[in-house]
Amino acid sequence: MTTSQFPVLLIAIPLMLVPVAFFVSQAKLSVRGFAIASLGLVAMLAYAPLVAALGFGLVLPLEARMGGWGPELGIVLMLDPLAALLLPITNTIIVLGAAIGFPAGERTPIPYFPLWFLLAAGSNGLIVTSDLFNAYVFLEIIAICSHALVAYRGDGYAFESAFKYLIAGLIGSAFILWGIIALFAATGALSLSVIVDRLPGAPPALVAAGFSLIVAGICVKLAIVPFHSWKPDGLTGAPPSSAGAISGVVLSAVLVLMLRVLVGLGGIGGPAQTLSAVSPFPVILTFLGAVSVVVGHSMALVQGRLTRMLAYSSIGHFGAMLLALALVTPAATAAVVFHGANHAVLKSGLFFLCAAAATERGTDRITGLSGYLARRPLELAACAILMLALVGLPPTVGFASKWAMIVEVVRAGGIVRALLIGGGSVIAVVYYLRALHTMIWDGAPRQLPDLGDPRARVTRLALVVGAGYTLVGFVGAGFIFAVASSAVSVLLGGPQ
Amino acid sequence: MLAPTILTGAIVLTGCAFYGLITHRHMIRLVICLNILDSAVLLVIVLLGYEPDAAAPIVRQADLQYVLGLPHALSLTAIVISACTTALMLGYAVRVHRLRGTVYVDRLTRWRG
Repeated sequence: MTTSQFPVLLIAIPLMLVPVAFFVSQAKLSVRGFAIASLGLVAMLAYAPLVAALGFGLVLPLEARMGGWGPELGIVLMLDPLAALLLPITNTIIVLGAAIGFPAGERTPIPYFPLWFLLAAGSNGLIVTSDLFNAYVFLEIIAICSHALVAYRGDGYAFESAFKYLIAGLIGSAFILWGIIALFAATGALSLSVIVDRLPGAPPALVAAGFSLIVAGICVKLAIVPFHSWKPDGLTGAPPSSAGAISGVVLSAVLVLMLRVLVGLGGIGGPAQTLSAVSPFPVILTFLGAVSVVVGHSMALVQGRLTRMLAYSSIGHFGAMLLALALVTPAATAAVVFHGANHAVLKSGLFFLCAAAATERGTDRITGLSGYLARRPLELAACAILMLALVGLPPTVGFASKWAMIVEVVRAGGIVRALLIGGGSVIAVVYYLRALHTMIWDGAPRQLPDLGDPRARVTRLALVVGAGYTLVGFVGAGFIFAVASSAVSVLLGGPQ
Repeated sequence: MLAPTILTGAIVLTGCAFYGLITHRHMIRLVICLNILDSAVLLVIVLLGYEPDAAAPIVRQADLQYVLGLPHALSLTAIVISACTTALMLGYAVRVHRLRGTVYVDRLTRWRG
């Protein structure tokens, strides 16, 4: 463990830039270059811990005590390997999403760039915090700015989506707050490290209630069936670039909270044995995960709009992760971390492509996008690679993580789960191939786009980055999996 | 005596809020239900710091018994968050009403496929 105030920078810098970006945009100055450059700077900071840990022998986790208070009373930020793995991914998605979704020319009723700074501050905060109430505050910051990102274009459909998303998000937050309060009542602490120590002596009923409520709230936020109905509607009216950021950034940050609570506090070994003992927790998680895999992938099959198809497919992916997580073995959990990181990159990459296509065609219906990829070799290649990876076929990083998940699940004795995860992939082949087929061959190819629009160039850059990660990650899969494994062992309080 | 009463009240309020969220489709009513849900949580948070016959947590004498101040700080934060989200939801409701002409969620789009 290293003591350093570095994690604070990841939250404080974007937070301080929120008002700056707001005033710059109000003064009708060009905010775009400034905003993208600053978000890029934050993203580079986010890469620093991973690079320093791998290349220069920095010992993670980095621990920052706010105001010098210890974990009993104060807030402690903990940049562990889990955070170091996910921070570069989420921050890169934020920079690209902000650049792609920027409304050219038209003025938006909601100031655009401050929201992205707020999203960066909130998601970085949720990923590094190790204090439950602090996590709740960051969760609400993320929720508020992601709802506003859904609505920023200001048409009636966007506000409708934002309202539906907001109601669902707030119900989820209310559950999580109830759970946090129950854990606080049981242990008298909010810091994860203190709660772990005090759990064995805490009243088991309160602890079980706390865990169940937090996990229920997180399931609402992750859109696990049967709490999923907000997600397709919430993303349909949203600009696809915002939908990409929500799928990539918000869901990853919430997944981190889930791992910290389920695995770090009580899950696998250690004090968490209490968890399996007091409640039929793994059984419920398995059930929810299985239903999500089936419903998510089958519903994706019947969608005519690309955004809805991608949204339902995310439900299936998170269901698969829940299935593996419910097995509570460290190796399966590491595979979940790996797959979560990959899903963020792949899904947001496809949403960004969808953003470019929808801007050009004015619709995100798959039939309306026919022939879109026909004369765009770069987009076509990237789209095919990303879809291949989401299905889980080689040579992509998606294959590596899905394979790791299935192998670990089978090793832990969950043959049925493995079949479910594999079956989801089989359905995914069908709907991705159908969408790809329509976007390549159907319809007459139209004229090529004018590449003068900087957003088109950023989209191509984003696709190159995403596809590059997908291919390079396949070669370096063992390496990423090793980082994920060390993340899980640190979560479990193992050797650091 | 006080604690069980407040706890029961909070649970009843939560039940009311969920009943409302499930049965109503009027946007403003949904917002009110979410506010009731937040109030229920706040009651419990404040209750957690309560000690019978204890003084407010401002240190005057060393031997005095004080209530726990931390839950109060938490409840303040939760109130602020609740106010923000309420304002945001009402803002969306006004916009949806202006642009789409209805405040009933089920009369809005049925997105299919």
